[in-house]
Amino acid sequence: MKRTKGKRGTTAALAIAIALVMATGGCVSREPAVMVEEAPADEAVDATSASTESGDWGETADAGAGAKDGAKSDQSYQDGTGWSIDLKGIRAAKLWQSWFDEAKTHASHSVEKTVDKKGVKTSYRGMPLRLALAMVDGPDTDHAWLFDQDLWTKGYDVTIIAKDGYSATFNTRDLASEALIIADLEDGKPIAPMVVGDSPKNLWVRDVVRIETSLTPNALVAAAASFVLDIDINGAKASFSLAELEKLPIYKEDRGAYTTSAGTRYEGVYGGVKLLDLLQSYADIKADDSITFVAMDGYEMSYPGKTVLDSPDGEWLLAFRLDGDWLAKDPGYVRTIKVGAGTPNIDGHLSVRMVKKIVVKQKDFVDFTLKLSGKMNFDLDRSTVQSCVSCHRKTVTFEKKGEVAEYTGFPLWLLMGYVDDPKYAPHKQDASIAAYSNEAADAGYAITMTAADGFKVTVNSRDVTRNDDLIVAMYKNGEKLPDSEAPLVVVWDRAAKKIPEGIKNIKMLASVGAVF
Amino acid sequence: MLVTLLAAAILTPGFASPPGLAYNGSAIRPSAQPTRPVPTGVAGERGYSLGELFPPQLEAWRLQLSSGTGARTVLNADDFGERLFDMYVVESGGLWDLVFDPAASGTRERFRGITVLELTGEPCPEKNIEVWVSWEGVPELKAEIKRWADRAGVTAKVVDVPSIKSKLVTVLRGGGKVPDVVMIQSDYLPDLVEAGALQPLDGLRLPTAGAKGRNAFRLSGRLFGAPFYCDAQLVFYSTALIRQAPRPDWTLDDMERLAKASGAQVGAAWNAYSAYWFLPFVIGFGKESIMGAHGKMDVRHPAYVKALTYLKDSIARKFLTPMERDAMMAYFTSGKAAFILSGSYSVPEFRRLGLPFGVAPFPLVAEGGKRLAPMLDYKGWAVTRTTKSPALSRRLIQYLSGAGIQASFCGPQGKLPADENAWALMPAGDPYLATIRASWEAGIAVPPDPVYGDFKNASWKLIRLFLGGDTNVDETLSALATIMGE
Repeated sequence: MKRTKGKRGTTAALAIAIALVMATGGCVSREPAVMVEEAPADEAVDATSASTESGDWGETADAGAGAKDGAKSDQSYQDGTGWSIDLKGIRAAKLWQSWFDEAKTHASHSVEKTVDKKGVKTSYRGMPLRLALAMVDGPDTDHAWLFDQDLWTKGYDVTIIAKDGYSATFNTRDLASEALIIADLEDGKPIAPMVVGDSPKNLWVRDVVRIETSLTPNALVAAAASFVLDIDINGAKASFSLAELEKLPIYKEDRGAYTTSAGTRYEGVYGGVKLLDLLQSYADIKADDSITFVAMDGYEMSYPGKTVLDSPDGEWLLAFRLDGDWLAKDPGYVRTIKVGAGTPNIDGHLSVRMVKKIVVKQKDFVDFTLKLSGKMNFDLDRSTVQSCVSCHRKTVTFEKKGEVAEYTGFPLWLLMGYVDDPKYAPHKQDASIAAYSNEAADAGYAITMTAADGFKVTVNSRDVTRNDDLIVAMYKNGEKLPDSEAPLVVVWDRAAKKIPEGIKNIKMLASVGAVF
Repeated sequence: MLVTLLAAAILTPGFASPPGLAYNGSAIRPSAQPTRPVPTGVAGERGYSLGELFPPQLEAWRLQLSSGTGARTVLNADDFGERLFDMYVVESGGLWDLVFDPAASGTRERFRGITVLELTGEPCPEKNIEVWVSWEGVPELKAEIKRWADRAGVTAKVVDVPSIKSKLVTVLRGGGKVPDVVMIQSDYLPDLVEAGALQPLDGLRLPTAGAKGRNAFRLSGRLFGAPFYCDAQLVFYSTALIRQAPRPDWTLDDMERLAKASGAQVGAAWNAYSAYWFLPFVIGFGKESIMGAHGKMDVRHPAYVKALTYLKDSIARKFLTPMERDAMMAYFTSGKAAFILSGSYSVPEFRRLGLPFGVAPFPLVAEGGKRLAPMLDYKGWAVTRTTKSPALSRRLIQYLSGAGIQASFCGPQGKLPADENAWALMPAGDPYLATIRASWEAGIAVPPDPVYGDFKNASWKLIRLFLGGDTNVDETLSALATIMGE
């Protein structure tokens, strides 16, 4: 298995801390907020309206005006002078004052609307709004853009945004396409561009800087649309977007639940693709195959194939919907959950959040149990040990007989939290209660580590406590341990500040005990 | 004739002998909903807001004032529609004065002896509005917004949404119908602005008092929320265990001494892992502000070391027991904890339970004499970017920003109005109000900065590791600095 690349610090604590943050989704990346330009603006003018229009503005295809000039490079409409209005639809464009002025010389692009402004008839002249929308309501990149009347009639939202941020939205179904203009003249005098016309007056927006449509996916939708789930099955790769996953015939919705280590249960109707069916479409999954889920933050969880194959209480989903809504990026976009008629309830750490990649390597999955004994006894299964590695990841450079290797695991002393007192174990009670007993460790007890072949090493807890340089490792040089060392080894960093007296390299670690 | 008709007494509940009101030439029929007198901005004076007397305006530009002598004064301005909420009629000797600030200069002018006000304008064309509310006092908020809607002649749908930020993001992502107005807390801003969910409110006329609150909703120089109220952090103590009320200038040492003397099972409990409860200690131990000059948290500041060390030592001395909220409340309500840290929103809850409790301001750090700075958690109102009722949304927000509304809501909820003018309207004799106000004075608003959000997410895990003994202070702050890019 390849080592997951994640953030690393130069100190043990840094590695722990950053790994912990990464594993629980604490790392953030932030894109700059989208801001609008400043300065106040009046909101609207008033009274009833009448419109008079010069020229031939009734055509929906703008071929007339455009054809005269011939096709122009879209670039010429991206560069201009004077004021500008950003347009966002299926494409993005910018309406410059210089182009606006040129366009108005054509009859169909120049329209007058007369309205009542505080009881006084006022005329506004400008370009039909629909002609600006034509620049972005379709894939046309060049003039003459064709205005899509059918799309307008079908309906989409148009948001008009002023310089001070005031924005008003209407649906095109509710207005005639010729109702509104972008005006730059009020009673013959130049004004900053204003949307005005035959509409409710809250849509008359002065000092317009941007016009957006619902034809553009919003930032959240865009981010989710760009997400892909990667599959790697025995080296064969595939990728799916969420939209593609939802269209698969193996999409299913059903109830599922998970319970966190603090005992909180979360339940809902999940929608997603059946995991086994998805994997089986690439390979015949066997019980001893290894299925690894890699999350967006680097967290990994492996399941044996048997877990997916044998699920009498439900079936595993790669879920991306919950109760009808898309899963947000965290804990989505994709998470694993078991669903079924009886609302199966799984352990929280088995529900992998923010799944980004699924790796299947057949026939190399080996399950194991690490036995712990002391004031309490526990048998830790592979998934629990793997969680420990993911959350408390530590890599050391171990040297033995001239051979140097990098081992990755978690500090040994953390295991003792399971057995060093009769009451508390990691993740089994409120997080405010520390499972690990510093006092017991400082007082001193024997820690006995036993390999599968009976080889035994005993050290003192005083040498082990808070010693991050001494680890239980699951990986060597980024790969799973060789058979001669698997499933776990005890190693330490060659530059360790403290090497416990009596410590020896223990391969095939089977059990750890605390003797008081 | 019109003046005569309008000068006849129109019985409007709340008025002794109300002024006549006309809009676009027609008399306004009295509303069944009474108005309330509120501060006018002139010391000690209360009046009735024109924003409540006239229907919501898209725009209004002419106000004619008629007096009992027949004299008329015509006021013209393009922005009356925006300003009506800050214009008041004040009863004066059986007649009415109009009080407002015509030049927006901060100086109120007075037009005396008015019998009739006639407004000319354009009414809001929007007739429907959807508002999402949350946190405490939802039934009261629903009632207040309904009251406004009834007076305004519009329909308001008010929805209680437990997690507004998540729900709004989900609806946006799914292309669903977004509400028009949402209640937000200040640290929602980075995510919601990044998602394009909100529109700036810079042009909206809001009460001038309340700079602390407005700054809590200002991001990248733009105002995205109108502050409504804040919760202030307080020390709550069990009067069954702590017999003597702490002095206003008490110190952390005093707090610990009192806790020990009480014999309580738990001396003090709070969620020490949370940035919300940790940063007050950072300020108390010497940092000037939460955000540094360059928009960073400056986690290498010595105050972080001192704060972390103090908390760790407090735990070792068995004074502090870190607990998350539910456990902390259980210990306090069962009389096992002498002190807890909580927000002023807990006051009504403890009163309802009949607990013997008192509140104290955050203590001082003996060395340096600086007080722990309570965090002020502001809630406010925002308008969604794709609302189809932008004008009506703004009028509702102006209404909710009024001093009278804020005071009537905040008093029973243990909260502090964002508009400081509203404090004078808070219930007299509230034994906790003085302490809540003192906390506000010393407090720092939760910053609406994405860096704070990142810090909040990263720090709780690292503080937990530190207080649990897994890392030392240098390792903790090094890790935090790396994550924060400092």
